Amino acid sequence: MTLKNQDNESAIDKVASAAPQSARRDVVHGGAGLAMAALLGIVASACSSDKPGADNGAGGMGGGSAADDADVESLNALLTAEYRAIAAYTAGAGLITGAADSDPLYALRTVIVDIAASIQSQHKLHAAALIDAIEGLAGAPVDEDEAASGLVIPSALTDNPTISNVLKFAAGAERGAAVAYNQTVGVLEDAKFRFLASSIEGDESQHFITLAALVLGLAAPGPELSEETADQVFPAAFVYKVGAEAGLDSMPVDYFS
Amino acid sequence: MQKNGMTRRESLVRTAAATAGLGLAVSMSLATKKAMAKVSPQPNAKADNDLLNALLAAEYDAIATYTAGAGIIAGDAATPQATRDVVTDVAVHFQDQHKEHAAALKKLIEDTNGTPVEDSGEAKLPESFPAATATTTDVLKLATDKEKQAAYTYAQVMQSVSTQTAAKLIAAIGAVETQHFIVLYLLVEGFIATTDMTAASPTLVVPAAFVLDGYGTTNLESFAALDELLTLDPA
Repeated sequence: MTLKNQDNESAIDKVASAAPQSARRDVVHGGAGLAMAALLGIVASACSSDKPGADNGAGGMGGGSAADDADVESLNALLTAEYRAIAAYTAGAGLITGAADSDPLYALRTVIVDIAASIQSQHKLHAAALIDAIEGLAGAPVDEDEAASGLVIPSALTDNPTISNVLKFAAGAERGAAVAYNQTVGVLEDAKFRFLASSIEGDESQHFITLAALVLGLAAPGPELSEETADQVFPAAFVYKVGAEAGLDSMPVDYFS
Repeated sequence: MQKNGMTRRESLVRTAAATAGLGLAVSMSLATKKAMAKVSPQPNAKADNDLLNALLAAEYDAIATYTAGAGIIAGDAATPQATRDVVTDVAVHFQDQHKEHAAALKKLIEDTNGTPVEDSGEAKLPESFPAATATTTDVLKLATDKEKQAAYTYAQVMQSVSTQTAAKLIAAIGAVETQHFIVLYLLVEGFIATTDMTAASPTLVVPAAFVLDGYGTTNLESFAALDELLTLDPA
C-alpha cells in the first residue's frame, strides 16, 4: 500500500478547486456545517415516439420553436442533478475531512477526498456538456446556485457522518444517477442527446461501482493508489468522446492491439 | 430475481434520495407537457436491427473470450491458486451477464421481426495477445480491453439508433460494460485489490446485469439486497 496521509491543503478547497480545464461553471462551495447531500430524482414518464413519422404531436422534424423542445426539460433535469452532485461532493469532502480519528477509514481520508475531487471534476464536465446541448436548442439552462440549493441533508448522514456513510451515500446517489440517465434516454427524442446521456450514464455507473466496491469491502485500495494517482482512477468523464472531451474510445490505451 | 415492481422502480430515483431524506429534484411528465421535440432520426426498427446485431456479435465474442480466458487462467500455475480462483469466479460472473445481454438483444431483434446473428463461438483475439504464454494478468488485460471497447461501442451506436426502445436497452447494457471495464482496469493497474469479500461474493462485484428493470434477472433499478447494503449505518 502506498496510501499517504498528507494534510497539505484543505480537502474542501481541493475538491472545490478541481475544476477541469473546460468546465464552464465555478464550483459550488459548501458552507459551514457541510454535509453530504444529494442527488437526483427524475421520473421520466414515457411518451414514445418509436413509430415512424412520430413527432410528439408537434410538427415532426423540428416543429415548434426550439425553446419549446421537450428535450430541453429532460436535459435541464439532468443538469440539475449534476449541479447537486457537484455540491454534494464538496459537502462530502467536508465531512470526510472532519471525520474523527477513530473512524475506521481515517487513514484513507486524504486519498478518498482526492478521488472525490476527480469525480466532481467529471460531473462539472457533464454539466458543461448538458449546457451546450440545452443552449444548442435555444433553451435556458437551469441556474446552478438555484439547482444546488435544492440539496437536502439526510439526517441519517448528519447524525452519523462517518467516512463509510459518506461513501455509501455517494454510491447510492451515483447509482440513482445512472438509473435516471437511462430512464431519460428512453424519453429523449433526438439521438444526439440520447448519445450524450448514455455517454454520461456510463461514467456515473463507473463512479457507482467503484465507490460501492470500496465501501462494501468487495475491493480494497491497491498498492498503486495514492494521492498522486487518484485522478487516474476514472480515466475519462465520458464513455465516448463528447465535443473536445475525450472518452474511453481514446483513453486509456489498449493493452493489446 | 430482483424485479420487485413499481415500489422498487419508484424507489431508486425517489427513495435513493428519499430514504436518505431527499426529495425529488425534478418530476417530469413528458406525456402531459406542452413542449415539443424534434424526433431525430425518424424511428426505423429495421435499421436499428443492424446495429443491435453488431452489438449481439460483440456479446458473443465477449462470452467466447471469457471462456478462452478461463482456460488460460486454469493453466497458469505460476499464479497462486487463490488468485486464479477469485479471478475466474468474477470472470464467470461477468460472462453470465454478457449472456443476459445477448439474450435481451436477441429478443428485441426478434420482437421487431429481425434475424439475430449466429453465435460463432469463437473469440477474436488481438494479434499481440500472447495466447500460448499468457498469464492471468494477460487475461485480465485482454478482458479490460474488450470491456472498454464494448462500453464505448454501446455509447457510439447511440448516435445512430433511431428508436427509444432500442436506445433504452443499449444504455441499460452499455453502462454495465463500463462497470466491468472499470473494475478490471483498476485491478490491472493496482488501484484496487481483491479481498476475502471478493472471493466470497463475486456476483456482488458488478451486481446487476442491466441498469433498468425489465430485461433480465438483475438490475440497478430494483435491487433490494443492494438497497440494504448501501443503507447508512445508524449513529
